[in-house]
Amino acid sequence: MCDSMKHGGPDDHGLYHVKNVPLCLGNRRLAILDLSSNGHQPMLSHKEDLIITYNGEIYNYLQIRTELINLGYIFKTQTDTEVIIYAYQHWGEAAFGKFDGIFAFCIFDKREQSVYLVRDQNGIKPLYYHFDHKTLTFASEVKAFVHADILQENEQWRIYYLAFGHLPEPYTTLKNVYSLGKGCFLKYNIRSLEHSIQSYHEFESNTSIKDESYAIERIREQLGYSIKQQMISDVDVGVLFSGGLDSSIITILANKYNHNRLSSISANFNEIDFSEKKQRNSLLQKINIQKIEQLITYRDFVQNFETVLANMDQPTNDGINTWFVCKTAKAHGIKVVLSGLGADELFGGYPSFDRIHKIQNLNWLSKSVLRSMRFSNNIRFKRLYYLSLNSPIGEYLCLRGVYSPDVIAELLDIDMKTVLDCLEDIPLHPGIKKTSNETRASWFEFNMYMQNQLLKDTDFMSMSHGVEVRVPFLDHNFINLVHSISNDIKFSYEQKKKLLVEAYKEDLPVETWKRSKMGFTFPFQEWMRKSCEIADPSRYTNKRAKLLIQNFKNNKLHWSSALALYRIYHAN
Amino acid sequence: MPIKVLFLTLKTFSLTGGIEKVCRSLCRVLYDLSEEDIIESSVYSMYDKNTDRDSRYLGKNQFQGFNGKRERFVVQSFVSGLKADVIFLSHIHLINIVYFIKKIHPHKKIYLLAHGIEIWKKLSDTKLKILNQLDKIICVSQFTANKIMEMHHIPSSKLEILNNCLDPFYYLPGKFDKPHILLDRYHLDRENLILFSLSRLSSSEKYKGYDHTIELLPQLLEKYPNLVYLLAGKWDDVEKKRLDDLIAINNLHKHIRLVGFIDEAELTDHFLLSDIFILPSQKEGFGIVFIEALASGLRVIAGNKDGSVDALQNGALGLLVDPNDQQGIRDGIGMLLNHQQTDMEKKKLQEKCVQTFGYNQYLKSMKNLLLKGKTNVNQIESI
Repeated sequence: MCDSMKHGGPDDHGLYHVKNVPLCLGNRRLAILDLSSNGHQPMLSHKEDLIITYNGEIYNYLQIRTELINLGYIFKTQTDTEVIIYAYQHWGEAAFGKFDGIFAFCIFDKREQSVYLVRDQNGIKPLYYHFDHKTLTFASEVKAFVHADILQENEQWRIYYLAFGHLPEPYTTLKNVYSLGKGCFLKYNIRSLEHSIQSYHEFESNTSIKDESYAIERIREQLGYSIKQQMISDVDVGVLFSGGLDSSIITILANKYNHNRLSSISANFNEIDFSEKKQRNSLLQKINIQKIEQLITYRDFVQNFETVLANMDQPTNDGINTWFVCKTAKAHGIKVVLSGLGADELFGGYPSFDRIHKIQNLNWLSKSVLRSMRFSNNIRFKRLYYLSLNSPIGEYLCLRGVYSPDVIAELLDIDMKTVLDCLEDIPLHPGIKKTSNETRASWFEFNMYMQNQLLKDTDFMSMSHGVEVRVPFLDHNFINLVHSISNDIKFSYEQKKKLLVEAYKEDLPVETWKRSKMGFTFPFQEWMRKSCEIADPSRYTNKRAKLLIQNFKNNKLHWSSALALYRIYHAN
Repeated sequence: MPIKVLFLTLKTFSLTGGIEKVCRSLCRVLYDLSEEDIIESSVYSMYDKNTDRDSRYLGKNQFQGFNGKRERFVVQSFVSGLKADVIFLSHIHLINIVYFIKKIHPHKKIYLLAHGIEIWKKLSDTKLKILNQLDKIICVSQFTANKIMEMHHIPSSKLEILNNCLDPFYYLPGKFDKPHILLDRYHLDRENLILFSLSRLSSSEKYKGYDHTIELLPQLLEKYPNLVYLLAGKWDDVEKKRLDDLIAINNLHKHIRLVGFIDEAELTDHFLLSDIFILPSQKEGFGIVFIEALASGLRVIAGNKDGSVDALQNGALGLLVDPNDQQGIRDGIGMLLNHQQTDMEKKKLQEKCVQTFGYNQYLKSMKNLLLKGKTNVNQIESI
């Protein structure tokens, strides 16, 4: 299992198992802090009664370490791994909430004969598990389970994928392999075989900040702090710099707190519509950093396409851009990069913030009218069908879904009821129905789109190159702050991410904050339409798929929808 | 004030033939010169759709596809043509549009691109009359220019020879190893000697240069048993069946691979895979495929009876053979196969090709044409 994840942990590997204990822990290490062999994992406590295997970074580990030293603990290494061990030893389960970072780990507590699986508050690092009658198996990637002979496919994964463009948590392509929820831990007793899952952290929303200038001041202070903290690394750090607002903010702040020379990593294209070089240069000319610009061509896309798909741990319609920019980072010897991910979701950067109002206005329509929308020829109208679902998931799918349920049924040759039952059964926070439009749109973006798609894709696409992506906007103190700001000053229909713009306007060139650019936008529509592999209708036997691919060829279907078809019918 | 340029085309993006490739390069020239504020350009395509535009070559606002709506295309071209300072026509078929424009504005510059076979045939009197009124006919080769002078009696002063160029985005390899992905795909190994042809495989095409190569294979195999002929290009069903039958009758299935359409992303790799590119044609206006092969360091055998002569620089860049002389072609192949090309030789060949046919030279010539009415400024000075 461990060897199958070598790409994400190329620097070291280790196993822990002892006689008479029905347990084996494994690790592949990507060395970022304390590059010496001291960081070898699985790591044992002095008394050898606590054993850990861990993936991620604890940004506040030095503070916790000092606290523990003051309490009398002695450390052998400079790693954050060791800090987790003694934090757990001292505070028990309460330690998990103290960690500020991106992490997934397993601790075996010999004293209690308990195994803990713990995932960070934001679910940035993945953690999957599987139970059968006697065995708990866990890993950072779903594909690793195959090496433990856990092979049975989850029959519903294609429905999820065609509806969402990804697989929503906790589901995976494998039956009974689930992702552990964010901010949760799973406790398992290896003697009694009993287990429980508990949440150790939930974000609260108390909207106490109502004054804009105070909010701006606090944003600047907290984001600066978050970036300063996330610069901690014993290897070079880079910034994924698309030229948009979010990555520009990260770039100027990272440059401020970086003691070595910072690198910015950007993608260039021959396609005129996608060339952002001029806009990027307006900021880059102002600061002294190493500029890495990688030209990515149609040829690169075609020649790497199958590898990119093979590197996806789970099917998804996104992440290809991350794969390319992280490849560039790796080629320049950069192991750690900062990304602007999360700002759109926190500050209302997506069109769904506007659209949720529009679809709310359709609430007066009866369910039968909404259901009849499936007969429309327009893909957007077809998705209105989802509003007739009993679960709020319908609202999300109407805003962000890929295919409507009737199309999914046709594509998979199943009946529509199976599709609808499957989608309605997805567990969702019950309170979400009662929140305001803006809060709900933000909640959907944050807890569904970002959680299930962006973060997941970013992690496995970057890890396929052995590159760690850090996301300063998702520092949990920063999230707490943003959640405490009233919607009235946070969201504006006139300007996307208004508050963030106001906070950093003075530091950025006008070109950067006046545009509505989002992330790394690649010319996928052009590239995929040109690719015979994807866009040749004769390669698809399913009638509906053939028709949809023909529409794609005529530029009447978005590339992500076409990619979903390719993934379902052709990718291995 | 930037010069207002209107470029009228039949198809630019929805086909991948030679004429379309030239149109795309010219589009990029117009884009680059617009970025320099030298010109203001618009490109109209009669048969492309707006969504066919490949955004590497020009911006959204510079292109309009009329999706086969010919009347609309003609009317709009006429109206915009009246406002333009310079009009480029990509094809002789578009020549009628400029008749009245030239009447109304005799000083307006109008240029026609002359590729090959489309202009070597008999033209109507009206077309001939307009042809004579154009400011310049830009011929892709000396051969095309000679034909125009010979058939249509256009004075040489009206003709400009501007060879086609490599596509600005053509991938130039830095290394010349045979790509293992393609070796595996076609079940080949490094011991195989590979002849390569790329051409539309069309049943309506009367002259089939690749047939001559197929005919030669049995003789060549006696001396070079590891020889494989890779025949690529989009085929129609009739031609595919004819070729399959031909291969079966001659029992050549082990030595011929019909590989079909090659995506531009893999074109360079196919040249790298091969030892000789061979296409002794008879009616090629220029043959961009030859310079693409040369730019990948690949040796080329082409015919000496058409525009290929320009592409091979009268034999300086490759071997010119009489397309009707089978013995000569066989000897030519043998001569090249007896010498294994070194990487250094490939590099040199690539450099020579890029020096002669690189996009930057083409850009410069077009800029000269637009600013000074002549593609080659040195020539003006010498006159």
